[in-house]
Amino acid sequence: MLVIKYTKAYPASYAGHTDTLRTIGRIFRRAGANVEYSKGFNPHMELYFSPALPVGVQSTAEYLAVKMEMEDNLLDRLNQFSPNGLTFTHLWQKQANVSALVTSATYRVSCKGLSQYASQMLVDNYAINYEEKGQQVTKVVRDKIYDLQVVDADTFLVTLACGNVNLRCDRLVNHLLAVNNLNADYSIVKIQMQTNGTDMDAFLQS
Amino acid sequence: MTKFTDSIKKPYVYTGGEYGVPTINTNADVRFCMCVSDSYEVGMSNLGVRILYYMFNSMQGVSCERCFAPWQDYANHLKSTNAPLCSLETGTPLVNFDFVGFSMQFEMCYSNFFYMLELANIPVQTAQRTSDHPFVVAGGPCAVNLEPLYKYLDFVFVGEGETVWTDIVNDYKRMKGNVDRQQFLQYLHQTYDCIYVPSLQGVEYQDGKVVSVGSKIVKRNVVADLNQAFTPNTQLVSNVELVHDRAVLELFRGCANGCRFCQAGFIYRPVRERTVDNAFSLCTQLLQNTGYDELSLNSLSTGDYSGLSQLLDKLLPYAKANNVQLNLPSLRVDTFKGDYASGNRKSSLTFAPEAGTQRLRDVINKNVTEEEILSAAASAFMQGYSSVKLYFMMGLPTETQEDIDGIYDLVVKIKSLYKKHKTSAKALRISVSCSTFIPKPFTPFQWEAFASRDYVTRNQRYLAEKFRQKGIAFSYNDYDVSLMEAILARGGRQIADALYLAYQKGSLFDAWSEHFCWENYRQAFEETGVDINAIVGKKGTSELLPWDYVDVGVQKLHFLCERNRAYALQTTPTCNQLCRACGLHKWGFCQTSHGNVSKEGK
Ligand code: SF4
Repeated sequence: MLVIKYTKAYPASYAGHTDTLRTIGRIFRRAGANVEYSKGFNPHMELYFSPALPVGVQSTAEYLAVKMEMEDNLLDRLNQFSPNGLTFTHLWQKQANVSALVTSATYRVSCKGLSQYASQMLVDNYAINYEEKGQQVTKVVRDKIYDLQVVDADTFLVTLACGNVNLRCDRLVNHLLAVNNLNADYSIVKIQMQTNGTDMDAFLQS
Repeated sequence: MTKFTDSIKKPYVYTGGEYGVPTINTNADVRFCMCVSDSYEVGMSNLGVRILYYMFNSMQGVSCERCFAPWQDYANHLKSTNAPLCSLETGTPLVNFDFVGFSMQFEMCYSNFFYMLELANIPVQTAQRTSDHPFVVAGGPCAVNLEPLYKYLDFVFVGEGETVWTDIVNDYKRMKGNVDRQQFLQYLHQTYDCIYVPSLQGVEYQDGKVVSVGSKIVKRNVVADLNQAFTPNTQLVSNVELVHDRAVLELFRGCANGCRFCQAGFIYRPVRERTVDNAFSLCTQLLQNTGYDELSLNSLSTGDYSGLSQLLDKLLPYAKANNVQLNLPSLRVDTFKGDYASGNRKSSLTFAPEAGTQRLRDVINKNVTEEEILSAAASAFMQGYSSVKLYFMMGLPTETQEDIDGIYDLVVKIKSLYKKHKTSAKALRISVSCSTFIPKPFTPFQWEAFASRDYVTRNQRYLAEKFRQKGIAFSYNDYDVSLMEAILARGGRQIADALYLAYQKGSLFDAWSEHFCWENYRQAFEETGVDINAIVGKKGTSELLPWDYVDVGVQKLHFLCERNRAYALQTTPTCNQLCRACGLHKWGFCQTSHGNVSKEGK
């Protein structure tokens, strides 16, 4: 089993999760990587991905586990056959189910003038409004916000629950924008995943 | 996430950056933007577009980019930011290209053609374009009658693009800057048999009827040998799912069967097969270069490929070893061999008897008997198939109540076969689809009338009720949609104004039934004084037809002869059995073998 870290940037970040899974399967096929296939009637590649990233959110910290032996120059070969925006960056030989391990993730939020309002999210019982399945809902999310670091007036880092317990960063940002009457464009980049407070990379390295 | 991705439903279809995009030289001498006036997912699946895209990009000093019809949220975004419609590869406004070429695959995409031109700030009418504008051109299957768009297209390429297009582009490269727009069109008009310049043709209409189609006869361009023709060994692989999201190999072009209702069967003649070696080699290259795990062998009638079993002997083991799923679409009932499909997922079985009785199948020259259909179904059921789809048509020439009832009777027979032969534990899933026959140009039925609303809706209701009682899924086309398709396919210059008017009234994405609005068109025809009945009604065989300026290679005499045979209930054998000298032999085809089938494949 190998675990591979990859970056999902524009324009690949505009494709949804299942579309991206399919794309990555094709990259492995083009690169001629010897991935194992499941047995049975409808065999598929044994690839396992970290939790879904919403359309439009970029990430420098996505992971996938793949059932195969180590091969020469694997990362280079994968990158050679990747569409714009997908880059494979790290490789570990390890048995690890990243999807089950991940507990939190750090995001870099960039938006003109939003940092001054970011601390609002730290008040007790902080709740956000968002739309889910066509319904407007209000949810208390304070318990899913683990850390906030303001970098400058237009940038802050926020660490949120990720995995089984999850808070979508785009919902948090959209709520902040709405309640503060801001109409600026914004971008979100997932920059790290953690397992019980440990950087996923360090965990995989150990 | 950004505001853009929040507000646009399918943001990825506007970014480009797919795997396999060649390097685009924005300083190329000739820049071509290849457009399909349908959605990205549909347009990206088009084989013809794929060939020309890679061919142009392989030429010295030429670059080719793509553009598809955006959904309305993106169109609104463009309008609100005052941005024009741009190419996917380099984000170049369409108006800055030398050629903006539309591949016209389907008549119902014409309204989107106006939509794309307007979003691109290109004048819709030919007469309004100047040296600042690209040539707006069209090709594809609809090019055999694009008269309904005559005043919006600078020129039309009739036929297959692998040859001649390269010459035109090279001519343009040489002449650019030395000749004006009009002179270049004049040059094309005089130089190339397959080029139609509507403004130079000298077509005349009187009271909404064509009285002269001009002096030039435009000849469909036909590629001699598919093995030699430019064929890309890769495809663009999108990050989002396409309509045909798989590797596709064109196995052969043309069809030997001569079904009398089928326009494709005539306008792609003759049959030109790839050799087994060429086909197999391309299949493996396509799969390796794209990473797809699914492959389709495409043609009008794949089961008729003379080297099918040799090819499958090579392909099946390759597919198994490489975890590739093979799709073999449009197998005709009479060539269906259950074993071709074994080793794959037991998908649905598809039959297209087209008509319910043997008499009517003889009329339309669908040379398949009820026994053949039933025995193919029985053997498929024995192999474990549990799902059947059946395709029929309604409104065919000479059709009677007996033929309508025949549809129902045949389906019921197939259903009862399942009980007898099934090996699957599943219940049979059977779905019947009945479309409305459209008498298309360049078929023996081009003079026939399109069926009336009363007749079609009455029989649709009749069959729907009978099938409902049997618990069989039955679907059919909305009459208005079929009527519209008939008007677009058979119309001439008299409907050009109405089409633009309907677009202005809001018609868009007409090929998507949830968007189609007949009322827009009905009003537009009324306001511009178009007599719909004259277009879809019966035509006299000596009458001049709007598309008579095109010679597809099959002679009118052959169509007439086939029409007479239809009425006499005479079937016509396939090209492989007996050449009926339809006209292609005069173009140098079908000289040494019946139907131009490659001998190596045998
Ligand atoms: S010339 Fe003969 S063999 Fe060739 S397409 Fe026509 S009918 Fe078929």
